[in-house]
Amino acid sequence: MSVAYKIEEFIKENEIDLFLDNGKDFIDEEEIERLLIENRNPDKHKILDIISKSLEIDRLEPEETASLLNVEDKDLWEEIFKAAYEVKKRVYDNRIVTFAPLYCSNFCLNNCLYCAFRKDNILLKRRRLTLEEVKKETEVLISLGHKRVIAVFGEHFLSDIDYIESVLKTIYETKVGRGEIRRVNVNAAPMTIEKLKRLKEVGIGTFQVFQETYHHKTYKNVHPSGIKSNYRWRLYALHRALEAGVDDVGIGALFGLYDWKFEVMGLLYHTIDLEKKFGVGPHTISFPRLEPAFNTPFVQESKYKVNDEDFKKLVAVIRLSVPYTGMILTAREPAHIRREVLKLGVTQTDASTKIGIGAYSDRASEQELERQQFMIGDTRSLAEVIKELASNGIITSFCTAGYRCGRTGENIMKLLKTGKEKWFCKLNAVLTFREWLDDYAPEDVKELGEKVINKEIEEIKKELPEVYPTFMKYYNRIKNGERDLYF
Amino acid sequence: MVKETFISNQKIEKFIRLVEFFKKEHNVEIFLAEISGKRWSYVAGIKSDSLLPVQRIKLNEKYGLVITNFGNLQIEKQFEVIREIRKVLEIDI
Repeated sequence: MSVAYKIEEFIKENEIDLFLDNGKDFIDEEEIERLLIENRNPDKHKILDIISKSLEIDRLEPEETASLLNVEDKDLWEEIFKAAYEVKKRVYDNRIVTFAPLYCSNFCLNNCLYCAFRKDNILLKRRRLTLEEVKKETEVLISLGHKRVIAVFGEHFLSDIDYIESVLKTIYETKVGRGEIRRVNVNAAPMTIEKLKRLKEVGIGTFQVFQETYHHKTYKNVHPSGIKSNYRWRLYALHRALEAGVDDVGIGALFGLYDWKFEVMGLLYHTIDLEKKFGVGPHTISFPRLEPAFNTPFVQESKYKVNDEDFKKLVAVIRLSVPYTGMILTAREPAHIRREVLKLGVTQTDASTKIGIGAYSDRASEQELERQQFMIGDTRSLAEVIKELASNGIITSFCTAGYRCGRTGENIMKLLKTGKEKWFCKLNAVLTFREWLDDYAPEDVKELGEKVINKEIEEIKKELPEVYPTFMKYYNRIKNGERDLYF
Repeated sequence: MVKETFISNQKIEKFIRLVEFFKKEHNVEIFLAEISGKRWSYVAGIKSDSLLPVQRIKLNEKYGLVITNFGNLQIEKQFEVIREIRKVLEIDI
């Protein structure tokens, strides 16, 4: 489908200029390259000092991250991996939050070389869900026990702000018995401040826009045309979101487009600029790797693909660099990778994932590449993932408390950095996991689930004696059938 | 402590003075939130450090109060607190 449009309908240059520093954006490639070169062969003691800083939940400086990225010693990497796990526990406690992606439309005006949704991919089956279909998809997700969704949209007139707004309203209004979706995050194209205000009005959770690559030249090469070819419009998407009052924002890079060490630095500089201008960094950082995509030869040809060992390293370094942020590991990755990488500081993961448009209600068990953005690596169900986490002593959380109590943006930053938020995480993980066990858990998961929940309750009793009585009142109310109680 | 809202800055300043008084007198911590669907975003007031669950009270479709330790007050006192806040913010039922 060929569509004529004017770039000015989408991009407001003054909403880029607003955030530049003396006409420049915050990615100084020479500076990044210089730091990566100058911090080669870092001294062991320097690395241990950097690790200690992260363990104090103190965001790293670019020079420190560059040093971590240049570690070669295997034993030091083990220290980094251990610290990544410890940092996550100190900030977010022993829980993994789960969610489901909901792909709503794969029409797109852009031509990203690595993406099956690109407009020149004429073999892709294009589809946009009607609101009735959105409702059906949501009902399936609710019936599995999900409480959190990320709604994903291509950049096109058919998935404009009116559509996105309607989709969010539909998702929030859908109920199945005692179940509902309590938080809808959005992954969509960069928008103007005015449109972002509308997302805020409808109750968005996190607004996510991935830069894909922070390297200017690579960005231009892989985004040859369309609105997305404007690097800075995309770069400042989350600045505009914060300006519009959407104070939970998610950044990310697509690893495999350019040098992975450069992209980690890019993510850090992005974080630093958000902090500098708004006093708040990203709510989440995502780090998807290039995956095979239908009729998309670029993926096979890329020379920057990240191997599994380097992937572990980049996850751990991101964790240490931005200790307070949430980190999302998705089902793009196969189960065996997820198992290993979850221990490196990840806070959120998806399950029962289907990314075909309308795939949840179609109930097909096979992936349909002709309507997906890429291939999924881990197709396990929510119950299977929860069972495995529980067998490793990790509780699955469906918490959505923070944004309903004003714990967002800079208000949650202090709580995260001082280690206070982790107690909310713990309390709400138990309450929401109780709901899931009672309403959705298959028999083979229940026993493991009860063990994990009892262990958490014992810890609450020991560590939070002043809160324990109130917590147990809430817990028992949930056991007796009440829903959606939170701290 | 103050974010841009549709309530005037003058009213917000009065609100802040009032909640500071309530904190001192009754040990309740109150902040004003802007309501967007399920999202309650902090606008102004006292953010609590307490882990105890908060009480959320809608003032109207757009604004609400997030209160800690409210249950420690007698019901009549609770009504009085809300009344005073509504008066200061000029938000009618």
